[in-house]
Amino acid sequence: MTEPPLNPLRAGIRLGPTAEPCVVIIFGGTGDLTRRKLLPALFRLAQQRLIPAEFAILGTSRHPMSDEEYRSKMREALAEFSDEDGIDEAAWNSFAQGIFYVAGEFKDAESFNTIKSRLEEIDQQRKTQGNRIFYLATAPEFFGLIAEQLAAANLSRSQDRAWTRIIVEKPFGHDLESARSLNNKLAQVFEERQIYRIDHYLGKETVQNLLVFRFANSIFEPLWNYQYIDHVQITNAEAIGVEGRGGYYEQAGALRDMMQNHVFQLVSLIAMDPPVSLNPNDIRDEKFRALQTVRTIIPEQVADNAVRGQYGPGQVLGQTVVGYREEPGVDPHSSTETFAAMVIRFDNWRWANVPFLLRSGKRLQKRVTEIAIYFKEVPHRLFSDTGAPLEPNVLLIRIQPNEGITLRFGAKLPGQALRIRWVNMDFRYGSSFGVKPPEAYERLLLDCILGDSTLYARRDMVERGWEIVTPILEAWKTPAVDFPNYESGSWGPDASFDLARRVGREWRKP
Amino acid sequence: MRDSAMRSIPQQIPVPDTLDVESIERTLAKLWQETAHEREHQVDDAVLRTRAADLMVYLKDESLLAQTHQIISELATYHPCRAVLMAGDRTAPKRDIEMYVSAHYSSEKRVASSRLCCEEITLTARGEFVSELPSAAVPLLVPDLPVFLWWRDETGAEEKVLSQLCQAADRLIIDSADSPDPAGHIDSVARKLKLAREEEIVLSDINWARLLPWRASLAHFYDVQGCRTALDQIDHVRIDFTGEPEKSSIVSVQGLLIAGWLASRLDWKLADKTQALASQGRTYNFSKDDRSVVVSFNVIHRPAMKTGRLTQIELENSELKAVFGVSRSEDGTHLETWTQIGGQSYPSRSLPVRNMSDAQLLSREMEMLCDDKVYEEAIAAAMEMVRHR
Repeated sequence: MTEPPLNPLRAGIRLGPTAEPCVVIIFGGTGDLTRRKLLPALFRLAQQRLIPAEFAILGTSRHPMSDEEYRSKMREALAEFSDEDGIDEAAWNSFAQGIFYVAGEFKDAESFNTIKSRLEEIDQQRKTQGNRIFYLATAPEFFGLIAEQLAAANLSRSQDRAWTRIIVEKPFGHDLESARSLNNKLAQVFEERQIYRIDHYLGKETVQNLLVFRFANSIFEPLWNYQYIDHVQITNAEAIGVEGRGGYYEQAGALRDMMQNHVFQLVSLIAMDPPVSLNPNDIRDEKFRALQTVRTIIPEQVADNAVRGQYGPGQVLGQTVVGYREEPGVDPHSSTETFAAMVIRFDNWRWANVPFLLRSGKRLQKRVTEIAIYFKEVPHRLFSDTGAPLEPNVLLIRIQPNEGITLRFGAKLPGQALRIRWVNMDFRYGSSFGVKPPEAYERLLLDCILGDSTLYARRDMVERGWEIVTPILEAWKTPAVDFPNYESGSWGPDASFDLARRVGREWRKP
Repeated sequence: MRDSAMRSIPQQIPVPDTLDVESIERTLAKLWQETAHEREHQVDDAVLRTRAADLMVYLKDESLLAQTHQIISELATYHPCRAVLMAGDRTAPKRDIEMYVSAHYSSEKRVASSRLCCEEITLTARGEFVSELPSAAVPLLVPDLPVFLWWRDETGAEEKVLSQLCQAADRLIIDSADSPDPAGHIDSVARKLKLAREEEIVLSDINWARLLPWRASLAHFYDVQGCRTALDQIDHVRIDFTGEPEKSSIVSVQGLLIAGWLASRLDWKLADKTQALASQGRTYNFSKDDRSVVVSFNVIHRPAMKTGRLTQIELENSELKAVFGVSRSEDGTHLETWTQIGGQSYPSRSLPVRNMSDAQLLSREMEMLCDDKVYEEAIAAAMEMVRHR
């Protein structure tokens, strides 16, 4: 297949790569994700000229409606969930000309034939050249079925120069077995290069900045190992509860919902070796290699290396809130964990004897996601009598909010006496670059349209994440007798603090 | 919503025989302390002193100072910086350098709960003392930051000052938009480009940044494979710009830049010297391989828009009856694109195009640290056209 000729007008630094014409087919086209995230992101991309005029959206769900009715619903969604001040009507009207809808059922093969016919019409009308992205914004139990139906309707492979991709939302499976089963089903229909497993944390600016921070600066890499780093803490805290999604959360829990995917992605970015290039697979190879060396937690070790918790009533950010078991859709005797903490260790030269302390939970004191890298103390204490305990240097990477990087170090207080105070050297995205970074979904959707899978999870990473947590999931099948075991608005159960102390460390207060 | 307030303490610092950089730094530190103390009683957050760049601005006289202060105040939101403003008027009676400092802070809450601030040092001089401005300004730059020089003097009278300031800068920023003599301005830009190369710095043109939506829209036509056959055999380009029809012999800088860009990117060679005048505007003949490409400029009267601004561009392939068009809506708020090939229409669209402020345009230039070869080639092609007048 010959490559298309280069665009001579795109040369230069100011005109970036442009996305090819395509249709995004959204299964779950009237759902929450589409309304809150996908539609606003695609409209913003269009406004920024990052996607072409030859672009279309085909929404599909069970509810019958016309194209115009669907456009109207999407317009309402944009008004409600876009964070722009007002909607440019002329821009919306031209964008909406490319929005279409078809009703159907996942179990009905004829629905997929209808989708196919509709796509052929759209190709003619919108000149989308046969390029397709199937976005599965549905409950995960439908992923396999949809993939099979797409194959049966001959929609999973492309013709001539066109391409077909599929975006799958998390969670990727419920455990290792279901993840493998889902991956196998997808693999029967799509090649791995066609599959984009979305993890929206990877779309965040600061997460992408981790690669730049580590590999565009020469000063950090020599220190990035067991010789200088004492331990790493990753905290992913939410102040909110389950927000009406108790039914879903009951089947998930903190370990499945956050730890196995988002937190492990952050772990891999910290723990990985430098890639040989910025080719997506070279980066993902190194991330996977890092996770491969995580020491297996055998069942007998789970109690010492992992802690679960469930929030009870309390006060968060000035509001009195109910406990998890009082949330709608939640079993009053639920043993689902809303908090998980664990210690992982690596069996490799870079990270030998450097514990990684991970925690994730809901209804904690505040919303924060951060990575704290604690350096070892000085080998010889010269300043032991300076009026303050010597503290280790800490490199803090804040993913959200207040995205930025802080280095904590000791400085002498001005004056005659030799006194040390610990100060922060701050880089903040908001202060240093006073512009709003793109939303995670904007970045991720554009990357998929461009065919760049760097920020998407690969099959091996997903399954490795499940492998690591499987012993813990097995142990936690036993009902928890002490739930709820932390008050809403605290930093989690006491047992999580004991977990850190068992490895000789203390959790940060973010 | 963004809300920016400027606090200014116009402290007059008499300049001794030798410049006392430390006293200026102390004055700035005092300004920050006073500002922080004042703000403590109003808000919970500390005033954050942030600098991500040095910005030198040279003005042809003091009349532009007030406007430039406003621009810096807005710019601080995007690029907190130390701004060193120089206003030199050689034609005025001589007066030694006078200096004052001020600061800008933003009350925009979204920015990490802290206040973006930057500091401004203004130096004014008249008569022969204008020559001393570079030696006064350059030591005031904060080390280890990228240095931008925004040159706002198109008189051409201070080439030596420009050269001296370029030695301290990483990027020279100009604005070719408002010249009443577009051809002369292109020539001036070409000379600055030469100077920039000699001083090993990069030249940026704010007017070139204004053309980005047009260039993006035109570039997009070439992304569509189905259109390439027609586009590769374009034989006529029509470029409309605002102006006074009776001055139809003048082609605006934007018109020259966009034509130069198309010619350089699409490898069109200027065919011959042409004096042909259309009923409005000017026509140039280019050639590509054995094919002729005619570029015609037309003046359109739109009183609501500034003179010299593009209003419409059409690329035409007469043999295939193909037209690719970009036009600015009557109210100036949108760029509309359309494509027709042999009677068949392709999807059109209308996208908002904002009139970006000077600060926003300047901010874009300050985001780039590498050179822009595409711009340099467009200027070279535009120079060729100017020489064929």
